Amino acid sequence: MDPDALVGRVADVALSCLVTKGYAATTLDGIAEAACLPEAEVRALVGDEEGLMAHLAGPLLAALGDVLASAAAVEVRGPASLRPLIEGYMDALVAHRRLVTVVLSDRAATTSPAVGALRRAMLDLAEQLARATGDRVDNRIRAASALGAVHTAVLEMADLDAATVRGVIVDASVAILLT
Amino acid sequence: MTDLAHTHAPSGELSVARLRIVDAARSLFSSRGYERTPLRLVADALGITKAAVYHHFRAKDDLLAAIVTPLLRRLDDLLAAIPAGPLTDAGRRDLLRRYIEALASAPEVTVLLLRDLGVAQHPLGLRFAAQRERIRALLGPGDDPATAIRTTAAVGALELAVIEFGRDHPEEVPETALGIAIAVLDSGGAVA
Repeated sequence: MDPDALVGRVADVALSCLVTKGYAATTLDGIAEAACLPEAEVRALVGDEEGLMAHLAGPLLAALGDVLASAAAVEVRGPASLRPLIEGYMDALVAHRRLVTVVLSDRAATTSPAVGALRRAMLDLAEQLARATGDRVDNRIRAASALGAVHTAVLEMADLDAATVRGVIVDASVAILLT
Repeated sequence: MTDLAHTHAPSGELSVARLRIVDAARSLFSSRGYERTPLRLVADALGITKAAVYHHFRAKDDLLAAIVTPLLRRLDDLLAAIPAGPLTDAGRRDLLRRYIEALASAPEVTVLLLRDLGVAQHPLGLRFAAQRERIRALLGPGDDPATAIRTTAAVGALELAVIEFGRDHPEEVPETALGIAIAVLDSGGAVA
C-alpha cells in the first residue's frame, strides 16, 4: 500500500476510534491494532497522538480559514449576503463530520492543540458574524447559535437527506443572524 | 448508583460539606470533563482528603447524580405538566421558554450533559437524551422532514446559547435564546 493510502487508512481508523471510544481512550497502539498495522509503522507515519490529531485537523482548519476570510470581508445587507458564508461553513463541517463530532462533543479532546485550533476557528467565525451584525451581547449569542444550528445538523442529521438538511439549516441560521 | 436522596443523610454541617463537594465537582467536571476528573482532584480543590469525599459520596457516579439530577427532575416535571394531544402555538412557545429557563438555571450542568461524551453515554446522560427527544417531538410533530430538521436546529441553537453564554450572561440568554428558537421554527414560514 502506498504511503498516502496508508495514512488515509490510519486516519479513517483513528476517526472511528475517536468517535466510538472518545479522545481520552484513543491511543496509537489501539489505532494500529484496529488497522491491523504494526504500531511502529503507524508512529512512522504520523508521529505521536498529537501528530495524528494535527494530521486529521489540517484539511478542516484550511477550509475554516477560507470561510473566515470570506466572513472578514462580508457586508451584511440581508439574507443573500450571509447565505454563502453559512453554506461554506456547513459544507466544510459536513465534509469532516466525524472529526467535527470529536471537536464539538468530546470535552476531553479540547486538551489537544489541534482540536483547540479548530475550536478557536469556529469561535473566530462566530465573533466575526457578531461584529458584522451589531456586536452587542445578543448579536454574539445569535452568531454562536446560528453556528450551533449548523453544528446540530452536522452532529445529529447525518441520516437525513443532505440537500434538505442543508437548505433548511442555512435558512434557519440566516434567520437567527437577522432576528 | 444512588440518588442524592439516598446518600448519607446529612446533618446541617454535612449538608454544607456535600454542597461544597458538589459545587467543586460541577466546576471541575464541566471544565476538564467527567472521565478526566478523578475524585482526588475534587478533594484537592477543596483541601480535603479523598476519603472525606467518599464519606459523602460512595462513588463518582453518585456525585454526578447529585450534580445532574436536579435538572433532570425539573425536565421531568416540565414534561409531566404538558397536556395530552398536540401543542398549540402558545403551548410550543411555553415549552421552549420553560426548557430554556431550565437549562439556563444550570449552565454548567447543561455543558456536562451536552458536551461531555462520558456523561452523554452514562445512564443519566441517556435519561437527558430521552427527555430532549421528547421535547423535540412535542415541538415538531408530524412527518414533514423540514419541520423535524427545523425543530432539531431550534433546540440545538438555544442549547448552544446556554452552553456558550449561560454562565457569563445569565440575564440575556433566556430571552435571546427564545427569540432564536422561534426564528428557527418560523424560518420555513411555519408559525411557532
